[in-house]
Amino acid sequence: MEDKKLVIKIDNVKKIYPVENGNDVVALNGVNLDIYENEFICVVGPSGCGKTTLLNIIGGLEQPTSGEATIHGRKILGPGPDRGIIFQQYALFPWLTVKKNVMYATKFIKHEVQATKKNKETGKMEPVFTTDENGNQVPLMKRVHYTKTEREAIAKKYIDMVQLGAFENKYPKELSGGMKQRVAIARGYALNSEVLLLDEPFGALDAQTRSQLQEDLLRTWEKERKTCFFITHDVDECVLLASRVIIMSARPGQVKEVINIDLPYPRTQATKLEPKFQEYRNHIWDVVYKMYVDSGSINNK
Amino acid sequence: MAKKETKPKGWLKEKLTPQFVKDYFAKREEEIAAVDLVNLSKPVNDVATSGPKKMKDFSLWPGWKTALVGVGGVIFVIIIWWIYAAICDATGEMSFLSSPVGVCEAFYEQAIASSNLWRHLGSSLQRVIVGYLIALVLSIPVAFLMAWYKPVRAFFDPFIQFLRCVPPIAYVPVVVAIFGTTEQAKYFVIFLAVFLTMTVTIYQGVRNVDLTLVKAAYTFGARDRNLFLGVIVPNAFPFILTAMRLGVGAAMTTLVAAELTGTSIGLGYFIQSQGSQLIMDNCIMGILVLGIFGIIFDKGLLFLEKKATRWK
Repeated sequence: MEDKKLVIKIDNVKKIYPVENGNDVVALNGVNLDIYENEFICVVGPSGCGKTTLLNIIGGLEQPTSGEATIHGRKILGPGPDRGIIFQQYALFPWLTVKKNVMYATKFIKHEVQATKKNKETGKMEPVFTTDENGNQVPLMKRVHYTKTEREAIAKKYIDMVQLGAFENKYPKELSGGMKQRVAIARGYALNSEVLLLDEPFGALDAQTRSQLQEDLLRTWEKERKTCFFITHDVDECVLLASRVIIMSARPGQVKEVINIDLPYPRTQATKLEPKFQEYRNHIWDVVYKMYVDSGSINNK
Repeated sequence: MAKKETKPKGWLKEKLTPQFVKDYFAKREEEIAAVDLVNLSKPVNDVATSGPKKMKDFSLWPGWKTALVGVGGVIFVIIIWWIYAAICDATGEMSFLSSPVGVCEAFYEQAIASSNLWRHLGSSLQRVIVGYLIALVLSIPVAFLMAWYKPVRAFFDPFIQFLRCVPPIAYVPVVVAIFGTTEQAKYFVIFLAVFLTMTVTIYQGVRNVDLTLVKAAYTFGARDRNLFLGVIVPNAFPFILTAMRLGVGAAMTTLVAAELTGTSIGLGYFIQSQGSQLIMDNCIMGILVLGIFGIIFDKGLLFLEKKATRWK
């Protein structure tokens, strides 16, 4: 395979939740994982295997008890706009319309533009240049917030992408669950973070809506190839979306198996009919089901 | 009645030996295991087909019907009052209870023929507004600080819990002792009642913020300051409006107590003095005016609340 750029490194991460009367809950027990650029990683595993904890650690919402998570070698100390999160509970601001919700994503981030300076003689704004270490003339860049107009344009693009143009002035309470999740996805994309973390985003949706949103997500990902870290408990979903599947085991949460899904993109729901898809699916299902049985979640008398 | 048999002291301790408890639960286990689930008769299902008798569903009632019942109820009570007053008048008993006609006459005398009522109402409204505004301005930061910082909460909580249980009329003498019979005394009584109500409500609103929204804001790069103005305040906003409505209620109901701190003007004073002189026409008229103004304020704020929280 060609050179892959390492983005996130999970290095022997342990997470222990202290419980008052001893019996501390070990959510993650020494997880190692490298996430490369343009990967679509899906994490599956039984409930209680620490999937969400792992996502929260990458997202900076929780700190590991030991070990560390880094992004481009920098230790993850808190949440930041380089790692967008799409939550299962949508997390839309109920007091903002669809458009304003998506615009919120670009409110605090900055981008680089060439500095300009007013020419005193002509009274016109002119770009500013500087010289780099090699003595070449290079544009002088400065970091600025997006203007309101730019933010509106960005919001519009992603609202159109999730086909909610007709609803941009509605409040979240006026939307169905699937539409709310589409707004959340639009907002996640509008942030244009390097990595997108998705925490069971389609978990609460009906089967039809879920299929639709899976396809939407695939189309978008195929276009931008943004690094995705997607948590699910749906085996079909993980094979359909992922370029790499991480199977985790529960109590203590550990990486059980890593599987490269060698199915070409673009994928559609029809991909599910391919024999290779079935093979992956059956294999993952076996591993996950076996863990359920072993953990006693299913009584197999 | 036969004398109840008294059990010897410590009988419970004697009976509840570890062995007894163990045997008891073992017996229960046996009983549960012995239930013949196969031949257990099925639940009776004929209830669902006939269905329980339902109450009439009024949820689709049009607004005018609801209004009609409300207005009709008020007219009904006035008629009953009128008849009762007429009977009392005819028999000569309890003749000091006024009739609706008497109240209307009193209103004409006090509000149209003279400006007596408006004078009283004016100074009462001033007290309500001043006390209310001070409470509004102070309760918002206090409630936010209480919700945000545990030490602030620990400091204010005992005072708030204590004062919430004491009716304002009880601390009137103390207020007089501190402020005398000044206007400040009236402001203070109203302020205290409104402040307590509003602080508790707004505090709940701040605390009730959905933590996922806070997390989401952080992932978009929001700092604490952005979080406060962009998430915490809008989230608490409906609660602030509800608190403002509850505050109006508290202000209006405390007005009479406030004007017990010694005054010769004000609607509360008017109601009290006319009542104690048995001029019931004026007294009831004053009560009605007080209540109607309360309703007007409440509806006004309700209207604003609906406008401002369309997203809710």
